Amino acid sequence: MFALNKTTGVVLSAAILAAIALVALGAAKLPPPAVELDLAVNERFEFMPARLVCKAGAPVHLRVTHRMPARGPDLPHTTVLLRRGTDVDGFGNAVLGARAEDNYVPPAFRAQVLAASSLVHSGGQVQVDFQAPSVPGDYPIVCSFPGHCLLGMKAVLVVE
Amino acid sequence: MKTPSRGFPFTSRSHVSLVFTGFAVIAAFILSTAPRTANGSASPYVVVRTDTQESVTRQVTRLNTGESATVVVTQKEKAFLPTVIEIRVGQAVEILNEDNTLHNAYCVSGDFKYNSGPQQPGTKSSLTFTTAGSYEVRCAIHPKMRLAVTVIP
Repeated sequence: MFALNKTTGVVLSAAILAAIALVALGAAKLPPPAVELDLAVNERFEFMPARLVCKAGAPVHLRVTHRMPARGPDLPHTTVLLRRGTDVDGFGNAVLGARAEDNYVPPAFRAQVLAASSLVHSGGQVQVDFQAPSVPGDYPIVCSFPGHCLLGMKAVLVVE
Repeated sequence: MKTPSRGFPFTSRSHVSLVFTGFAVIAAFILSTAPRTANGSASPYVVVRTDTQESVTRQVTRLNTGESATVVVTQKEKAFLPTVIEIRVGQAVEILNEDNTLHNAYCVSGDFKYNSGPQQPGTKSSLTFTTAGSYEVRCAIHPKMRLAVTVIP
């Protein structure tokens, strides 16, 4: 059979341990599996549901569906994910002066935006892909269309 | 023998007819010039359709004389008309959608919050301010639509 001398045995053991350590480290760095989330918006300036949950660092595919019929009047919305602790009321006031070409995100709050959809029109659907924040906590979701946030169009992404 | 003079060439019966005719003409004139709503019916409200300084002044004058009429603001061609009003605390403001598109009216100021919700063509909403101050009513669908409201005690 195999005959190993002492030196070879030590080297082999070290190599096996190193390999195990590398695999363990690699596994620890793997991101959580991707998650698909659905959010609906409507004519009552609501997000439904008002609370979404995902794992920290997970790739998120967020589908936003406008519940109003496409053939009816249009009431556009956006979906904007903000950093934890963002002054949401301040954001709601600031968007009153925001421009359409900026997706109604006021310049003063641009750094607070983690992800944002384009406008979703009545009967339409948009998807926002982003990586969930690595720090657990509650992250505000708002509509940046002027007035909607002030009227309570808010939700929260709970990162676990 | 001299026939008694009848004066102006009408009998007393024709005098009565003339007076009634006069009243009828005046009544018709008043009715024809009364304020009307979008569907043409007579309205007891003050309807202001222009955005001139004159219309604002007229409203203030009416308020100062103690009238408490509802002020009607229209939403037409994606604008509030008038764009500036002055009202008293407690006086109702009716917002009438005379456009052929969906509108909204909202106002958020401190603790005061009003939202008409989606306002279909031909419908109206009403809001009342309970505190004096300056407010801005907007449309949550058309961001450029703005109505400046000054509420006086």
